[in-house]
Amino acid sequence: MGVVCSIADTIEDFWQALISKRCGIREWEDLRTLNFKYTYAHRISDVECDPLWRGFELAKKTISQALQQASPNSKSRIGLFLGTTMGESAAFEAIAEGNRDIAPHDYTGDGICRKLRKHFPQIIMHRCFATACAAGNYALKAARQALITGDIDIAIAGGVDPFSKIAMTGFSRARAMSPSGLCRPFSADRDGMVLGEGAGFLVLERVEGAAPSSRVLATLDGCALTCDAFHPTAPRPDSAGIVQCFYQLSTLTSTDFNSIDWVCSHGTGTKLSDTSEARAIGKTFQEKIPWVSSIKAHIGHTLGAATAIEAIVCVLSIINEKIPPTVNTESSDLGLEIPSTPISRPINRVLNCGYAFGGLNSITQFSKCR
Amino acid sequence: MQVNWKTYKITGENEEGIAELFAEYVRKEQLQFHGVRSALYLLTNAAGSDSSIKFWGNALEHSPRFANPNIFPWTLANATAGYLARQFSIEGPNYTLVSSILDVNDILEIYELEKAELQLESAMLIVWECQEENALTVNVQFGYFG
Repeated sequence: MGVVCSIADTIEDFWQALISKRCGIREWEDLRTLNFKYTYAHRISDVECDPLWRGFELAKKTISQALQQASPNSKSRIGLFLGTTMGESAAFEAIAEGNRDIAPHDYTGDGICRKLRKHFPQIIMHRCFATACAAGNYALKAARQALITGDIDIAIAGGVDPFSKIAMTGFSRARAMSPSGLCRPFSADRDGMVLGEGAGFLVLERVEGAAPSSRVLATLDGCALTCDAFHPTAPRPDSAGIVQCFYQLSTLTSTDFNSIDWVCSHGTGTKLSDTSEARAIGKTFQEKIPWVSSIKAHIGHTLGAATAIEAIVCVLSIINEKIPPTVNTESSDLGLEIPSTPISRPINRVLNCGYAFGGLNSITQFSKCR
Repeated sequence: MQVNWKTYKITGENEEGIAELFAEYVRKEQLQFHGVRSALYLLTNAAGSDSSIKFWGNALEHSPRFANPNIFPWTLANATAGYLARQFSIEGPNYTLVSSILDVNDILEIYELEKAELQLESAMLIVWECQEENALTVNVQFGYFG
């Protein structure tokens, strides 16, 4: 696995930062200069690269980490499955600022994939999912499917989104941003999200085909996808689309909801989204609601990278037998138990939830490898 | 399975307008969709790019504090697929893939797998090609599976 975000650029540091409740938020002078209403964000401060290819750079760094850890056989057929919201947002911003030499088609998520394939020539195919904040889960599902069908031996799956002034403006104008600059998922006094950036990638292979030297960290059991078909940006008031997504996952994986140890939630900190998510969890887990935690207060909302980075959190929680805490949230008024400190316990099964504009609902399930 | 692929060339004032025009064409077909047993698969080369450029241009003109919020949802490549899902109550999987090579087989293979896995009764498969010289002209290849 590999990760880059506002609080860490290695897997080890990332987990320590989560457990020690480190938060990557800062105020940014350039946003103030540009007259943004909200000037706090979770950005990565030490990336040296062509600003138009920041997403590529983050993905490259993260994939390198993941491949180094997994050390796949050099003859393996590798597929790349990448989720993103906007691709290289800075390129579209530059065009709007008057740079007419830039071809927008080159800077989509597919453009990032093509550049990654040049850098990692062992990748023989790629798919790019532009499914906004659920994109990482889409990539994981497609990667799993490609491994099952035998099209590839190894999958690199994840998501990336560099910091986007377009997204910063859009979420601000959608009144989704936190005026206090504090993301407080599921808390009664939550007042919105804070934007982040980052990348997260996981190396997947079939358990039965894994090399003897492979250390299997966890299994990806399945992924469910539904669509609210209700509103461009707002969730359904009855949360039916998310509930349906939970049930689809349960059917696909034959999982009893009582066996879920915790839910790695979408948990953006906005009034509407957190309420909808909590309602869906309440409807789904009628007997016993598991722990629910969100890392968005630590690293911000990393959009297309979010569910990929959160998938890494799921795996790390299984390995380390700990549920990470939710920063800035001491209690919830939504009927959920949110850990404000790390919870040590055996973790056998975790759900990774991501929802997106366009009404997209996605949930992946990770389990301890038997 | 017999599928009639249809093609359209649509020009609009913005990406939302193009999606609306396409939905009108589909509506005339009087196709049946089945809620969670329906799915939508859209493959595009650049959906969202034109709106992204326009939105940031609008922010530069009026300040990020006053940018037109109606453009923002269309900056996302999956806005068109989300819009069509709302028009036809397609509540199953909703995909947007981005590729410079628009090979319908890329979405067809996902549909074939999910048709069996999720017992889908209907699906919309769309190739949404934004012209490089004018992103507001889109060549659409559309197939209904029911």
